[in-house]
Amino acid sequence: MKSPAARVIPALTLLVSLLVFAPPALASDHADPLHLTDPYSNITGLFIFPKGDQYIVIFNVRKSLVGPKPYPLSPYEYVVHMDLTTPVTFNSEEDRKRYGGTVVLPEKIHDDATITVRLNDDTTLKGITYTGLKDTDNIRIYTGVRDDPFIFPRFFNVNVISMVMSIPKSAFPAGQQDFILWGTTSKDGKQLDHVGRSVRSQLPRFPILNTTPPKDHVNLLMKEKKFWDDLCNFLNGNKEWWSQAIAGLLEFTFQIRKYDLAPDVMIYTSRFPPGYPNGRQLADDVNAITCTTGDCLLQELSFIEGNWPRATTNDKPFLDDWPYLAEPWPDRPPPPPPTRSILPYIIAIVLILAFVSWAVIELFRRFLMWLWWKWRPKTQAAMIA
Amino acid sequence: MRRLALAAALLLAAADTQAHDFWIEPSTFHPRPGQTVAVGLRVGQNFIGDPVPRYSDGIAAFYVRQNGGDENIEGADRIDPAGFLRADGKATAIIGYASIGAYIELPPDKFEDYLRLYGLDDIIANRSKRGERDKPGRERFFRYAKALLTGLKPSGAVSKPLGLAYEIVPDEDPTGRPEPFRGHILYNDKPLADALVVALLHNEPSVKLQTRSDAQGAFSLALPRTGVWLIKSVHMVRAGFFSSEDWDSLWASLAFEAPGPQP
Repeated sequence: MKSPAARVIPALTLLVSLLVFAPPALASDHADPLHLTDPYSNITGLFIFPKGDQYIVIFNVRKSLVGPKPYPLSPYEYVVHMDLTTPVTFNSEEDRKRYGGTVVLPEKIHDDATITVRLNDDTTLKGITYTGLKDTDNIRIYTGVRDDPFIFPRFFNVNVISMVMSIPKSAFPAGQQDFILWGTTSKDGKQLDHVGRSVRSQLPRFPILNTTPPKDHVNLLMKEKKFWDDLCNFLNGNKEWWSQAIAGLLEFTFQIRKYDLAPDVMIYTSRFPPGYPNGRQLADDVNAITCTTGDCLLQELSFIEGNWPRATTNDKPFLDDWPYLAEPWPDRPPPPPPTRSILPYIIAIVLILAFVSWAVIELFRRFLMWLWWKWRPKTQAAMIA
Repeated sequence: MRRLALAAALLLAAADTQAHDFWIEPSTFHPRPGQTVAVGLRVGQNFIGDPVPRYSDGIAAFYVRQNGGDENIEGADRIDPAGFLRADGKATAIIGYASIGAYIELPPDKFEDYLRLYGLDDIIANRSKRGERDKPGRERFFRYAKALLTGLKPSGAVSKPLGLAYEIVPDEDPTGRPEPFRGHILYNDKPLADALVVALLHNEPSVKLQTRSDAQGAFSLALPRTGVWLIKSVHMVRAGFFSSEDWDSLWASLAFEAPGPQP
C-alpha cells in the first residue's frame, strides 16, 4: 500500500510535466478545444469519393451544433486544397492501410487546385472561388446544416455546417488518378484549423499540425519526435518507478510514433476501391478502421461513451441523392455553458504556495541569525555588551 | 528474484548475440532527396538478422554524415527502428554507429569455436601461449557499423574514415560504380594487416566472399552481383591490465547497395 505522498508527488510531477511540455492544443477535427474558443473554424470532417462521373467532396465544420441560425460565419474562409502532381506511391501496404498511400517527398506538397468557400450567417453560400480546376460552371455545391456524419456517440443527435461539392471528373487533368487533399479554415488571413486524413490531427500528439501547411509536417514531426524521444528515454532510464510511469503515459499520449512521420493529408486514388483511408465515404467507420493501424483513442471513447454493441453506423441514414448527408436534427437550445471558474482554486493554491515558501525562508533566516548570535566572536560580543 | 531472472535473461541474450554480426539496415538504401529513412539495427548471421531495439545508454555514437555535416540520429528507446533521418539524397550519405562496450563471458570451448569462426586464429594461439585455453573467454565487445545511402551522385566522404576505433573504409564510393570493392581496414586510424574480411549478399546466404587485408590494411573483393552487400570484419586485442575482461573485440560492418553494371 503506497502512502498518499507517494501517489501525490508523481501525480504533481506528471501534471507539471504535462503543463510544461505539452504542445499547445490548438485545434482540429472533432476532439479539440477549438470549439470552445472559435467554434465556427473547427473542422469536423473531410470526405472524397467518386459518384458516377463526379467526385463528391464534403467539408464539415462546427461540431455539436444544435442551436438555430444565424451563426457568425462571415469572417471565415473554408478551403479545400488539392495536390494533383506530387507523386504518391502504393508499394507499402502499411502506408496504404494507414494513410491510403505514401507521399515520398512530403516537402513537395502544394495545392494545384483550391476551392474556397465563404458562407453567410444563415449558412447560404456567400461566395466560392476556384483555382486550378476546369469546367467549374458544372461544379454543384450545397451549403447548410446537416446531421454530423461522424460515427461516434458523442456526436450523435447533433449537426454540423456542411459544404458539399460535386465536381465533374472533367474538372481535373485528363487521366488524373491520384489526389492529395486537405482542408483549412482561416480568419483574417490566419489559419486556424487543418484536416487531412480523418482522426489524425485531433490526437493529442498532433496539435502542431493544425496551423502549418502539409509540406512542413514531417519536419515538424521529426523535431517533435526528437523532443519526446529524449524526454521519454531520460524518464525511462531512471530507477524510480514513477519516472518510468510518467514515461509510459507520455509514450501513450504525446510521444511521436515511428509511423507518424507522414504529412497529414488525405490520399485518394482511383487505382483502388474508394473507402477510408483511400479517401473517405460517408458510411466509413473511421474510428474502427484507424484503430486497426494503431490509434484507438476514439475507438475506446466510443465504447466508454456509447452503448453495447458499439455503433458502427451513423445515427441517421444517409441520403442516396444530393446532398447525401442525412437531414439535420431539429434546432434545440444548446446546453448551458459551465458557470464555475477554476481561477479561484488556482489563486488559492498560488497563495498557499507563496505563504509556505515565505514561512520556510523566514524560518531559515531566523535559524541563521540564531547561529550567528550563538557563535559570534567573543570580542565582538564583549563590545556589544 | 525478478531482477536476478532479468539479469540472467539479459546475459543469455547477450551471449546469444555476442558471436553474431551486427549491421545497419535502413528502410531504403536509395532515398530520394528529403525522404524520411528509418534506420534499423540488426544482429544475426549470414546477413539475416533480428531487429535490435534502440538502447540509448548503450550507444556511443549514432549519426549520419551527409551534405558536409554530421547529424545525430534520434529515436525512442526499446523501439525498432532505432532512429530516423531525413536524407539529403544529393550525394551518398554515411550512417555511423558505435556502441559502448558490453561484457560477456563464454565457456572455453564456445569461446574458441567463435574465435575460429571469425578467423581469429592468432587469439587462439595467444591463449594457448598464455596457458588460458581452459579458461573461460572474458571479453568486452564493441560494435562499429556503417551503412551507405546511395545519393544522386557519389561522395568523396565515403572514402574518409569516420574515426571509429575499428572501421572498414572503401577506397571509392561503392554505390557509384560496380565491383570490385576495394577498401582498407583501420584500427585506431591505422591500417591493420591480416584482418579477415567477409562479404555477404542480402537474401543470398550461399554467396559469401572472404579475404584478408594486406600489410597496408588494403583488401579487394570482386562482388559478383548487384544488391545489398555487407562487408564485415572482427578484430580482437588483449584488454588493458586493469580491465575486468581479458579481451576486447571490435566488430566492424559496412552495408551498402552495389549498383549494376553500367552501360
